[in-house]
Formats: sequence, structure tokens, C-alpha cells
Amino acid sequence: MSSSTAVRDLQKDLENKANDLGKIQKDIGKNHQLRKKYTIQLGENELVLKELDLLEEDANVYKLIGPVLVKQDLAEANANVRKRIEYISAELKRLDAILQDMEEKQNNKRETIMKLQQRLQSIQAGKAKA
Amino acid sequence: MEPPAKGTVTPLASLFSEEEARKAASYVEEKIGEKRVEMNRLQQFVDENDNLINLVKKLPDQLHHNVMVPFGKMAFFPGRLIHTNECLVLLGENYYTDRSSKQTVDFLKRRDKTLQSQIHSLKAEIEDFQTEASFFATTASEAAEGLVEIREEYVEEDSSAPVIQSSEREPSNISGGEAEEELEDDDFARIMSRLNELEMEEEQEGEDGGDRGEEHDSPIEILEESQHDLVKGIRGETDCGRIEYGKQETTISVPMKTSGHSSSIREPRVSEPRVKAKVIQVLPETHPHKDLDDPLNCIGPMSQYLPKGDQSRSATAQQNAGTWRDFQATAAISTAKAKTNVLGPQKIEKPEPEFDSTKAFTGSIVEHAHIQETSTHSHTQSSVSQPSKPVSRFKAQRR
Repeated sequence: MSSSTAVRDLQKDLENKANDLGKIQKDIGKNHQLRKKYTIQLGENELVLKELDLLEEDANVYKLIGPVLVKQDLAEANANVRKRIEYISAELKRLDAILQDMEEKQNNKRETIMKLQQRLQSIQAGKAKA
Repeated sequence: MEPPAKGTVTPLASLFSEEEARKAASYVEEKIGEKRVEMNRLQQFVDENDNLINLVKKLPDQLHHNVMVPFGKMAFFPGRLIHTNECLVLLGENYYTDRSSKQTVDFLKRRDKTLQSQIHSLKAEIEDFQTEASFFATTASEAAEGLVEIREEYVEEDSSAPVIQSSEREPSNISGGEAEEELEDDDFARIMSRLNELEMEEEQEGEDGGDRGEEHDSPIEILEESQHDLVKGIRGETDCGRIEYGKQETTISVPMKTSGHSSSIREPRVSEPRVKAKVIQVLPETHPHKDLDDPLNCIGPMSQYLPKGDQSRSATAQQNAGTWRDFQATAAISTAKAKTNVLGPQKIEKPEPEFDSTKAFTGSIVEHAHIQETSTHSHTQSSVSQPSKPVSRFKAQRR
């Protein structure tokens, strides 16, 4: 009797852990997508910066804000883009850290789940023998 | 001959199930598909960019162009393009700038370059995935075919003792031959005719080296009686030869298989000792190629028929190994100059296989690493192709 309750507990535990693992994996997936987006943006910004650097001093630069093109100073635009790149890089770093953290968690969860499964199996095997 | 403890035979299928490998392969294939789509998209960008470059180049040719101006989604109305040398270029991130046509073209060309580099990296990625996929696929097929991994410890001491043995036996064999000259002559004739037949077969089939090893092996075991056995062996050989040949053709991995289960295949035809010998033979066959770097290792196996082929191939390296081997090599190898008396050398050689078998080094036929995968294939293939060589040797001998 007691063993069966223990098994039930273990199974419940296992279920919970599996759910947690699933959640973490989902988060990791989201994080990956976000990261991808940021990487693409970073690439684009770098391209823009390169082009801005190539522009002559008196070139007209506009920024599309909503439906209107707003004329901007070249130096200003340049600074803006640089700032944006900085921001994105920082964001990427942050995401990387989070990702690492989550992967660690994921591995831990996986291990615990494996252990739980083993315990369950051993208990069930013991029961079968008995 | 082969102590059971010498090596382990692990079916590849037990390491990776075929299903798993196939799943992995299909997964990688999927990824390749994704990358392909991505690359197509990029390629489209490149094409569009090229078109745009052409257009922008042409625009300033005229002062104005008559065009149909899109108005909303559905409607167009006639209009005229003026200021043909002015472009508002989207740099990205919602930044625009006024550019002349020429500047725009330059910009577009730079963009094209970045696109090309992206495509390039994507191509590399796809290639990577493809090798991965092919690796998984081959693993799957190998597992399905029942390929086995054979590991055997290489014990160096064994080599010396067997050599002595073999040399001792040699004389005995010869002396025995003298005593029973008549018998031998008979046998000789039979053997030679048989050999001729074999040769013809081999020429036709190209690969059948394994059989001969048998022939020679049997004598080793049954020294004096060897002649009778020899004859038998030869007959058995032919059968085996064909069978083996077929196997080899079907799959690269077959040789290994045979080594693993050879007894079952061959037993019926040949007397026991031979069977063993065969098994041993096969092993060296597959392994030597791996360890070809050090000739010493290979020498053992080479004494046997197939192995001899190895010798002839890599003869230079192996000859260093020892006079005995040299003798063998010269006698049995394709270098026809060697001794003309067929039986003598062959018999002599027979003893060696024994020690070869014992000697056999560790050879894991299957490597699991990526890159090695391909290499293993080549190894196995080479082993397969080997058998064909002995034929030439044989011919040489007879002449």
C-alpha cells in the first residue's frame, strides 16, 4: 500500500517536473527567436552605420517616423544609430546570459527527471518481483 | 586459433538503433530544407537587387520617364517620372537619405556584396548539414545491415612466437612433401588445375581473395595431411569464394560480417580447422588497412592469402619486417620472380595465418565520428577491393 502511494507521489512529482521542463524549453525557444530578431537588427544597424559613414557631410538624411519623413542631421542620425547598436549589443548579451541560465536549469530539470524515472522504474520492478 | 577473449564483436545496431539514426537523418534533412528556403529568399533579394541596379542605372538616361503610377492597390494612372537622378534610399532602420543615381548604384552594389556573403555562409551551413545527414544515413544503413564493430587487443609478443612456429613447420612440411612425393604430385596437379579454375573465376569476378586463405590455412593445422585437405579446401574455396564475392559486392560492410559470423557461413563446406582459419583471415583483412601505417601490424595478416594482397601492395614497407615475411612476400606476391614451386611457398605461408590471427590488432571497423565515417567507408571498401589483388599474385606465382 505504502509503496503504491509512493509511486503515485513520484509520478505526480515527475509530471510537475516534466511540465516545468516544458515551460523552460518554451522559454528557451522564445529567447532564441528574440535573439535572432536582435541579431538581424544589429546587422541592419551596422549596415546603416556603414552607409552613414560613407555619406558626405551635407547629405540629407531622413528618418521615417510613422507616416512622415523627418529630416535629421547626419551627425545626429549617426549618433542615434550608434546608440541603437550599443543597445542591441547589450540586449544580446543579456539574452545570452539568460539563455545560459535557462539551459542550465533545463539540464538540471532533465537530470532530476531522469532520476525520478529511474526511481519509479526500480520501485515498479521491485513490486513486480514481489 | 583465435582465443575467444581476444576481441569483442559489437553489432553496430546495438549502439545506435537504425530508427534513431534515420530519425536524426530526417531531422537534419528538414533543417537543410529550411536553410534552402532561406537561401532561396536571399537569392531572390539578390535578383531584385540586380534588377534595381539596372533600373537605377538607366533612369538618368532621360530627363523624364512616362510611367504608370500605382494608386492604391488596384488603380494605376499615367504619370511621368522626373528628377531622374534623385533617389531617396532606404538605408535600413527607417533611415532614408537623398542620393544621386550613381551613388544609389554604389549603395546597391554594396548591399549586393553583403547579400552574397550571407548566401555564401548559408551554403557552407547547408553543406555541413548535408555531411551530417549523410553520416546519419550511412549509420542507419550500416546498423540495418548488421555491421559489427570488432575490437581486438594487439599483443606484440604473439608475433614472434608464431613466426618461429611457422618457420619450424615449414621444413616439416617440405620434408613431408618429399616423402609423399607421388601423392604430392597428384595433389599438385589437382591443385594446380583447381587453381587455374579459381583464377579464371577470380578474373571474372574480380574479388574472391578470402577463399584462398582457407586453402592455405587448412594445411597449417593439419600439417602432413595438408595435401588432402588442400584439395578439399580448394574445392570448398571455390564455393566460398563465390559466396563471399557476392556478399562483398552487396555491401561494403559485408567483410566484417563474414568475420563475425563466418563460421556459420563456411562451416558446412570446410573442415573445422579451416573454418577457424577463415575467420581469422577475414579479421586481418579488414583490420590491416586501418593500421597500415605500421607495417608490422599488418604483416601478420598478410601472410594469408588475402593479406598477401596487402603485402604485395605495401610490399616495400612490410618487407622490412622480417626475412620470413620477405620470403613470403617474394614467393607468394604478385612479383612473379619469386619461387616457382607453388606448393612450397604456399605451405610455408600457411603457418603464419595462425599467428596472424592471434596477433590481430584492435581494429574497430566502424568509427562514429563524423569525418571518420567517410574514412571508414574507404577502409572497408579497400578491404573489399583487396581480394581482387591476390589473383594477380597467383598468376604471377604460376608463371
